[in-house]
Amino acid sequence: MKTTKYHFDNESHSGENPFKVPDHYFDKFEDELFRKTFVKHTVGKGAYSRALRPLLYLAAAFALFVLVDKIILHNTASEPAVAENIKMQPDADMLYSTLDEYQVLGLCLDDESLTTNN
Amino acid sequence: MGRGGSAMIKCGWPAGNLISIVIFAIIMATKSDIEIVSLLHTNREAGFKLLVKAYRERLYWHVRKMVVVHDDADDILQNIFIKAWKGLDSFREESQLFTWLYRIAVNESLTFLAEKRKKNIFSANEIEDDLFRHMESDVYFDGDEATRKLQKAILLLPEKQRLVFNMRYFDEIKYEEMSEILQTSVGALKASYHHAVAKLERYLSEED
Repeated sequence: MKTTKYHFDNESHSGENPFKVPDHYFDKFEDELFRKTFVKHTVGKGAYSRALRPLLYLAAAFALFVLVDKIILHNTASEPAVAENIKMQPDADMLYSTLDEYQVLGLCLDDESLTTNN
Repeated sequence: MGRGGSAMIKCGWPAGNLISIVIFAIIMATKSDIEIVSLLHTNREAGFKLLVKAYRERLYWHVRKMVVVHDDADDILQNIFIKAWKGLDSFREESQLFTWLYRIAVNESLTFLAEKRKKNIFSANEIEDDLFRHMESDVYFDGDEATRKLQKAILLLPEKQRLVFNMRYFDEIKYEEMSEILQTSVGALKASYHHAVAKLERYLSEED
Protein backbone atom coordinates (compact mmCIF):
# COMPACT_ATOMS: atom_id res chain seq x y z
CA MET A 1 0.00 0.00 0.00
CA LYS A 2 1.28 3.43 -0.90
CA THR A 3 0.47 4.93 2.45
CA THR A 4 2.92 2.72 4.33
CA LYS A 5 5.49 5.46 3.71
CA TYR A 6 3.78 7.26 6.59
CA HIS A 7 4.49 4.41 9.05
CA PHE A 8 1.17 4.79 10.86
CA ASP A 9 1.33 1.35 12.35
CA ASN A 10 4.59 1.84 14.13
CA GLU A 11 5.88 2.14 17.62
CA SER A 12 9.22 3.46 16.48
CA HIS A 13 8.66 5.99 13.72
CA SER A 14 7.36 9.43 14.43
CA GLY A 15 5.82 11.71 11.89
CA GLU A 16 7.94 14.42 10.37
CA ASN A 17 6.96 17.87 11.49
CA PRO A 18 6.34 20.09 8.47
CA PHE A 19 5.62 23.22 10.49
CA LYS A 20 8.20 25.91 11.07
CA VAL A 21 8.49 28.90 13.36
CA PRO A 22 9.95 32.38 12.83
CA ASP A 23 13.69 32.65 13.49
CA HIS A 24 14.63 32.58 17.18
CA TYR A 25 10.98 32.26 18.11
CA PHE A 26 11.61 30.04 21.13
CA ASP A 27 14.44 32.23 22.37
CA LYS A 28 12.22 35.26 22.20
CA PHE A 29 9.12 33.53 23.50
CA GLU A 30 10.18 33.54 27.11
CA ASP A 31 11.05 37.24 27.09
CA GLU A 32 7.77 38.02 25.37
CA LEU A 33 5.85 35.94 27.88
CA PHE A 34 7.43 37.60 30.87
CA ARG A 35 7.29 41.08 29.36
CA LYS A 36 3.82 41.11 27.83
CA THR A 37 1.74 38.85 29.96
CA PHE A 38 3.49 37.17 32.80
CA VAL A 39 4.52 40.42 34.52
CA LYS A 40 1.06 41.90 34.01
CA HIS A 41 -0.69 38.84 35.39
CA THR A 42 1.64 37.71 38.07
CA VAL A 43 4.06 40.23 39.44
CA GLY A 44 0.78 41.05 40.96
CA LYS A 45 -0.38 42.08 44.31
CA GLY A 46 2.92 42.70 46.06
CA ALA A 47 4.26 44.92 43.33
CA TYR A 48 1.02 46.81 42.95
CA SER A 49 0.70 47.45 46.65
CA ARG A 50 4.34 48.60 46.72
CA ALA A 51 3.67 50.95 43.83
CA LEU A 52 0.46 52.22 45.38
CA ARG A 53 1.87 52.74 48.86
CA PRO A 54 3.10 56.35 48.30
CA LEU A 55 -0.26 57.19 46.76
CA LEU A 56 -2.02 55.72 49.77
CA TYR A 57 0.14 57.80 52.10
CA LEU A 58 -0.64 60.86 50.01
CA ALA A 59 -4.36 60.11 50.11
CA ALA A 60 -4.22 59.62 53.89
CA ALA A 61 -2.36 62.92 54.32
CA PHE A 62 -4.92 64.63 52.13
CA ALA A 63 -7.79 63.14 54.10
CA LEU A 64 -6.17 64.30 57.34
CA PHE A 65 -5.71 67.77 55.91
CA VAL A 66 -9.36 67.91 54.84
CA LEU A 67 -10.43 66.71 58.29
CA VAL A 68 -8.37 69.34 60.09
CA ASP A 69 -9.60 71.96 57.66
CA LYS A 70 -13.19 70.89 58.29
CA ILE A 71 -12.72 71.26 62.02
CA ILE A 72 -11.24 74.73 61.57
CA LEU A 73 -14.01 75.63 59.13
CA HIS A 74 -16.55 74.27 61.54
CA ASN A 75 -15.19 76.54 64.28
CA THR A 76 -15.25 79.58 62.03
CA ALA A 77 -18.65 78.68 60.60
CA SER A 78 -20.40 80.61 63.35
CA GLU A 79 -18.62 83.80 62.29
CA PRO A 80 -20.58 84.44 59.13
CA ALA A 81 -23.73 83.78 61.12
CA VAL A 82 -22.76 86.51 63.60
CA ALA A 83 -21.96 88.84 60.77
CA GLU A 84 -25.29 87.94 59.27
CA ASN A 85 -27.02 88.89 62.53
CA ILE A 86 -25.17 92.16 62.54
CA LYS A 87 -26.20 92.76 58.99
CA MET A 88 -29.77 91.94 59.86
CA GLN A 89 -29.77 94.41 62.68
CA PRO A 90 -30.45 97.53 60.56
CA ASP A 91 -33.37 95.71 58.95
CA ALA A 92 -34.86 95.01 62.41
CA ASP A 93 -34.30 98.64 63.34
CA MET A 94 -36.02 99.70 60.18
CA LEU A 95 -38.96 97.39 60.95
CA TYR A 96 -39.29 98.71 64.47
CA SER A 97 -39.10 102.26 63.23
CA THR A 98 -42.09 101.69 60.98
CA LEU A 99 -44.20 100.37 63.90
CA ASP A 100 -45.73 102.44 66.60
CA GLU A 101 -45.27 101.81 70.32
CA TYR A 102 -48.35 99.58 70.77
CA GLN A 103 -47.53 97.41 67.75
CA VAL A 104 -44.02 96.88 69.10
CA LEU A 105 -45.43 96.00 72.51
CA GLY A 106 -47.86 93.62 70.81
CA LEU A 107 -45.03 91.94 68.95
CA CYS A 108 -43.04 91.61 72.16
CA LEU A 109 -45.99 90.03 73.91
CA ASP A 110 -46.46 87.64 71.00
CA ASP A 111 -42.79 86.67 71.28
CA GLU A 112 -43.15 86.12 75.01
CA SER A 113 -46.29 84.04 74.55
CA LEU A 114 -44.47 81.95 71.92
CA THR A 115 -41.52 81.31 74.22
CA THR A 116 -43.77 80.47 77.17
CA ASN A 117 -45.80 78.10 75.00
CA ASN A 118 -42.63 76.39 73.95
CA MET B 1 42.99 34.51 41.98
CA GLY B 2 46.30 33.64 40.37
CA ARG B 3 47.82 35.07 37.28
CA GLY B 4 46.69 32.32 35.06
CA GLY B 5 43.12 32.74 36.17
CA SER B 6 42.98 36.43 35.46
CA ALA B 7 44.67 35.90 32.11
CA MET B 8 42.10 33.30 31.26
CA ILE B 9 39.31 35.73 32.08
CA LYS B 10 40.98 38.53 30.18
CA CYS B 11 41.50 36.80 26.90
CA GLY B 12 38.89 34.14 27.36
CA TRP B 13 35.76 36.30 27.64
CA PRO B 14 34.02 34.68 24.70
CA ALA B 15 35.34 31.28 25.64
CA GLY B 16 34.17 31.79 29.22
CA ASN B 17 30.82 32.81 27.90
CA LEU B 18 30.70 29.76 25.71
CA ILE B 19 31.61 27.53 28.65
CA SER B 20 28.85 29.04 30.77
CA ILE B 21 26.37 28.56 27.91
CA VAL B 22 27.43 24.93 27.57
CA ILE B 23 27.19 24.40 31.34
CA PHE B 24 23.77 26.01 31.33
CA ALA B 25 22.67 23.80 28.42
CA ILE B 26 23.85 20.71 30.29
CA ILE B 27 22.07 21.80 33.43
CA MET B 28 18.95 22.49 31.41
CA ALA B 29 19.09 19.11 29.74
CA THR B 30 19.47 17.27 33.02
CA LYS B 31 16.78 19.13 34.89
CA SER B 32 13.94 16.77 35.36
CA ASP B 33 10.39 17.47 36.42
CA ILE B 34 11.36 16.68 40.00
CA GLU B 35 14.06 19.30 39.96
CA ILE B 36 11.72 21.87 38.46
CA VAL B 37 9.09 21.12 41.09
CA SER B 38 11.60 21.37 43.93
CA LEU B 39 12.87 24.67 42.54
CA LEU B 40 9.28 25.88 42.34
CA HIS B 41 9.09 25.30 46.09
CA THR B 42 12.24 27.22 46.93
CA ASN B 43 12.17 29.91 44.25
CA ARG B 44 8.85 30.08 42.48
CA GLU B 45 9.86 32.47 39.74
CA ALA B 46 13.14 30.75 38.89
CA GLY B 47 11.39 27.40 38.93
CA PHE B 48 8.72 28.68 36.62
CA LYS B 49 11.26 30.08 34.19
CA LEU B 50 12.87 26.68 34.09
CA LEU B 51 9.50 25.05 33.48
CA VAL B 52 8.84 27.39 30.55
CA LYS B 53 12.25 26.61 29.09
CA ALA B 54 11.73 22.89 29.48
CA TYR B 55 8.24 22.72 27.98
CA ARG B 56 7.78 25.63 25.59
CA GLU B 57 8.78 23.69 22.47
CA ARG B 58 6.92 20.46 23.16
CA LEU B 59 3.75 22.30 24.03
CA TYR B 60 4.08 24.67 21.11
CA TRP B 61 4.34 21.85 18.57
CA HIS B 62 1.41 20.06 20.08
CA VAL B 63 -0.74 23.20 19.91
CA ARG B 64 0.52 24.19 16.48
CA LYS B 65 -0.50 20.87 14.97
CA MET B 66 -3.98 21.35 16.37
CA VAL B 67 -4.55 25.00 15.42
CA VAL B 68 -2.17 25.16 12.42
CA VAL B 69 -1.67 28.96 12.47
CA HIS B 70 1.54 30.11 14.16
CA ASP B 71 0.08 33.28 15.68
CA ASP B 72 -2.79 31.32 17.23
CA ALA B 73 -0.37 28.73 18.57
CA ASP B 74 1.73 31.52 20.05
CA ASP B 75 -1.28 33.07 21.83
CA ILE B 76 -2.38 29.69 23.13
CA LEU B 77 1.10 28.86 24.37
CA GLN B 78 1.18 32.09 26.35
CA ASN B 79 -2.23 31.28 27.82
CA ILE B 80 -1.03 27.82 28.78
CA PHE B 81 1.86 29.21 30.79
CA ILE B 82 -0.25 31.93 32.38
CA LYS B 83 -2.76 29.28 33.46
CA ALA B 84 0.05 27.08 34.70
CA TRP B 85 1.50 29.93 36.75
CA LYS B 86 -1.87 30.79 38.23
CA GLY B 87 -2.60 27.14 38.93
CA LEU B 88 0.75 26.19 40.43
CA ASP B 89 -0.85 25.88 43.86
CA SER B 90 -3.42 23.45 42.52
CA PHE B 91 -0.78 21.27 40.89
CA ARG B 92 -0.76 17.97 42.72
CA GLU B 93 2.68 16.55 42.83
CA GLU B 94 1.57 12.97 42.52
CA SER B 95 0.71 13.72 38.88
CA GLN B 96 3.56 14.52 36.51
CA LEU B 97 4.35 18.06 35.51
CA PHE B 98 4.35 16.90 31.92
CA THR B 99 0.85 15.40 32.23
CA TRP B 100 -0.51 18.48 33.96
CA LEU B 101 0.90 20.90 31.37
CA TYR B 102 -0.20 18.75 28.47
CA ARG B 103 -3.72 18.64 29.89
CA ILE B 104 -3.79 22.44 30.01
CA ALA B 105 -2.47 22.55 26.43
CA VAL B 106 -5.11 20.11 25.19
CA ASN B 107 -7.90 22.04 26.90
CA GLU B 108 -6.66 25.36 25.59
CA SER B 109 -6.38 24.06 22.03
CA LEU B 110 -9.83 22.46 22.06
CA THR B 111 -11.38 25.58 23.63
CA PHE B 112 -9.74 27.72 20.96
CA LEU B 113 -11.08 25.52 18.16
CA ALA B 114 -14.56 25.44 19.70
CA GLU B 115 -14.62 29.24 19.88
CA LYS B 116 -13.35 29.51 16.34
CA ARG B 117 -16.08 27.13 15.22
CA LYS B 118 -18.69 29.20 17.07
CA LYS B 119 -17.52 32.38 15.36
CA ASN B 120 -17.51 30.57 12.05
CA ILE B 121 -21.10 29.41 12.33
CA PHE B 122 -22.40 31.62 9.53
CA SER B 123 -19.52 30.90 7.21
CA ALA B 124 -19.97 28.51 4.30
CA ASN B 125 -16.60 26.89 5.03
CA GLU B 126 -15.68 24.59 7.86
CA ILE B 127 -12.79 25.89 9.93
CA GLU B 128 -10.74 22.92 8.75
CA ASP B 129 -11.05 24.21 5.16
CA ASP B 130 -9.81 27.59 6.32
CA LEU B 131 -6.97 25.99 8.20
CA PHE B 132 -5.91 23.98 5.19
CA ARG B 133 -6.09 27.04 2.95
CA HIS B 134 -3.96 28.89 5.47
CA MET B 135 -1.48 26.03 5.55
CA GLU B 136 -1.09 26.10 1.78
CA SER B 137 0.01 29.73 1.79
CA ASP B 138 1.82 29.64 5.13
CA VAL B 139 5.47 30.63 4.99
CA TYR B 140 5.98 28.60 8.14
CA PHE B 141 4.85 25.38 6.52
CA ASP B 142 7.58 23.46 4.81
CA GLY B 143 6.21 20.16 3.65
CA ASP B 144 6.36 18.31 0.37
CA GLU B 145 3.27 17.20 -1.54
CA ALA B 146 2.89 13.97 0.45
CA THR B 147 3.13 15.87 3.76
CA ARG B 148 0.61 18.42 2.53
CA LYS B 149 -1.81 15.63 1.65
CA LEU B 150 -1.30 13.99 5.00
CA GLN B 151 -1.92 17.25 6.84
CA LYS B 152 -5.09 17.83 4.85
CA ALA B 153 -6.26 14.32 5.69
CA ILE B 154 -5.47 14.87 9.38
CA LEU B 155 -7.53 18.06 9.34
CA LEU B 156 -10.48 16.05 8.07
CA LEU B 157 -10.44 13.79 11.11
CA PRO B 158 -12.87 14.40 13.97
CA GLU B 159 -11.22 16.66 16.55
CA LYS B 160 -10.68 14.02 19.24
CA GLN B 161 -9.24 11.53 16.75
CA ARG B 162 -6.97 14.25 15.41
CA LEU B 163 -5.81 14.96 18.92
CA VAL B 164 -5.04 11.32 19.66
CA PHE B 165 -3.40 10.82 16.29
CA ASN B 166 -1.14 13.88 16.70
CA MET B 167 -0.17 12.90 20.23
CA ARG B 168 0.73 9.37 19.18
CA TYR B 169 2.14 9.87 15.70
CA PHE B 170 3.96 13.17 16.04
CA ASP B 171 4.52 13.70 19.76
CA GLU B 172 5.17 10.00 20.42
CA ILE B 173 3.30 10.05 23.68
CA LYS B 174 2.68 6.61 25.15
CA TYR B 175 -0.91 5.47 25.44
CA GLU B 176 -0.55 5.24 29.22
CA GLU B 177 0.56 8.88 29.45
CA MET B 178 -2.09 9.91 26.97
CA SER B 179 -4.64 8.13 29.10
CA GLU B 180 -3.64 10.25 32.09
CA ILE B 181 -3.70 13.47 30.09
CA LEU B 182 -7.01 12.87 28.35
CA GLN B 183 -8.62 10.91 31.20
CA THR B 184 -9.58 8.18 28.74
CA SER B 185 -8.85 4.46 28.87
CA VAL B 186 -5.89 3.08 26.96
CA GLY B 187 -8.22 0.80 25.02
CA ALA B 188 -10.37 3.69 23.86
CA LEU B 189 -7.30 5.65 22.84
CA LYS B 190 -5.90 2.76 20.85
CA ALA B 191 -9.23 2.31 19.12
CA SER B 192 -9.35 6.02 18.39
CA TYR B 193 -5.85 5.96 16.91
CA HIS B 194 -6.62 2.96 14.72
CA HIS B 195 -9.86 4.52 13.47
CA ALA B 196 -7.90 7.65 12.61
CA VAL B 197 -5.24 5.65 10.78
CA ALA B 198 -7.89 3.73 8.83
CA LYS B 199 -9.52 6.97 7.75
CA LEU B 200 -6.22 8.52 6.78
CA GLU B 201 -5.18 5.49 4.75
CA ARG B 202 -8.51 5.46 3.00
CA TYR B 203 -8.31 9.15 2.21
CA LEU B 204 -4.72 9.02 1.04
CA SER B 205 -5.25 5.99 -1.17
CA GLU B 206 -8.23 7.73 -2.79
CA GLU B 207 -6.12 10.83 -3.36
CA ASP B 208 -3.31 8.79 -4.90
